[in-house]
Amino acid sequence: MSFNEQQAIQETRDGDAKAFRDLVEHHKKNVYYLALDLTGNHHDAEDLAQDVFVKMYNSLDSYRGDGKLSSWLYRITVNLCINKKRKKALNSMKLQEDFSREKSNSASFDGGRVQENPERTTDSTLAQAHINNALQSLSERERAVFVLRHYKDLPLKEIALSLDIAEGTVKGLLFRAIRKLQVELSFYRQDLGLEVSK
Amino acid sequence: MIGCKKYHKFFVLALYDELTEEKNNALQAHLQSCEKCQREFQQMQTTLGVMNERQRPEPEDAFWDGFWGDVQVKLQQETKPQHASLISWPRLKVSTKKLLRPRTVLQFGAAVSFMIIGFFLGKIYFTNNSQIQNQGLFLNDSATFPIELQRQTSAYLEQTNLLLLGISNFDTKNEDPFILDLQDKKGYSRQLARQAAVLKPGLSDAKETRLLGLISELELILLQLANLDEKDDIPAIEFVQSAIDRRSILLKINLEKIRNKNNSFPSSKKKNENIPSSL
Repeated sequence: MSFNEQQAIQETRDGDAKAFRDLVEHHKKNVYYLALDLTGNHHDAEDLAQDVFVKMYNSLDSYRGDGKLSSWLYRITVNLCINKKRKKALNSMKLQEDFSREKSNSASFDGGRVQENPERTTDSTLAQAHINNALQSLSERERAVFVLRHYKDLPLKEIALSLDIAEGTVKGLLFRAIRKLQVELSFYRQDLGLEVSK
Repeated sequence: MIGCKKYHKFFVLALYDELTEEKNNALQAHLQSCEKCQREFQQMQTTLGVMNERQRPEPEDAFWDGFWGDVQVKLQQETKPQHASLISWPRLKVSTKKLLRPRTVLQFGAAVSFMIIGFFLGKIYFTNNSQIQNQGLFLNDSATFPIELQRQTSAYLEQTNLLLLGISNFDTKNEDPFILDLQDKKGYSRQLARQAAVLKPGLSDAKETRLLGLISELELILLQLANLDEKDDIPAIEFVQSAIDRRSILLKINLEKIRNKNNSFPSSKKKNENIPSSL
């Protein structure tokens, strides 16, 4: 079953609620997970993801259709996130909300390297917290660029278009982000027996 | 060192396989000859490898199920003016500047004049046929109780009735709580409770005090249901059942449905879905 996005966009513009719902259902996971990467906690991510679709609905007329809708939504997500943080001056990024704590017990690293025993589970939980902390230590723009490239697999050119910044800026932000992560993760990497440099 | 800086610029692109073949070959050749750059590049690769191990918590199914409902609620809250109807669909984006233009004011004045003339003509021609008028845009009391709000309230009562009926009829002594799927019911209750919060201002504006009271009672029970602790499923279900009984909620809903039927409430299923909320 293929989803005709262009048709859904047009029908939404014409006032078809079902088409709008289809668009929301189609993109909700992508938007939510980006919001989660950017905010670092479920509560803010939920709020942000909903706001993205409200914004999308209210400004769908300004979407020209010359790029992917997902890229446009990413842009809205990043901009809304930055604006929200500016306005609310969110002072702390809680990494593990209540439900994430529940879920993290069943988490395991890819490739089955972490077994389901309490000691390793604790280790993996700590490692996850460490990784999330590192991600949240980046500036808003660095994090946005890193998440879009690393987790959303968007080419640098598309990130530049999505965020309306120069490709060179994207490259610079990404380089700085990786360097910062490298420093932040030094403890974790030492734990893994990897070489560390600051 | 100057040469190294040049290659540093290639690092990011090379890490994500975005470097052209020619530049990549040049970078690889440099890395072979420069131990420092090789180490730096490897460390960046390792960092990205560590970031690959990041896992994101999966929200519960109820979150995804209720997502559209939450967006609807937010959309309604952010787009509706305080005393307008619940739904502002289709969107009307008119700036105040445009509204105050002399031409617009004249057009508006002309339109009002036509409407007044039309009203008097209609009154002359249709004085003996007032019943036909009642079948038009509004029902009996619809000047104060908008038809869209009536329809939404009616649909809301139907949905809530079905949910609470399922809970109420559940036999806690002989049936397995698994059949009830409490998790699903909790998510649905949360969604309905949010919708109640949206309906209430409209009912308050329409001075529908009895319906407003009923919706408030339902909201309370729905919130109780939404916040149940599933570990104590049987006592939790019994708790909600007693709240339903104590308040005679199902009886009140049925009375309201009968009243609505007598007032020829339009069925929600017969209406099109040309609104962002299908409450």
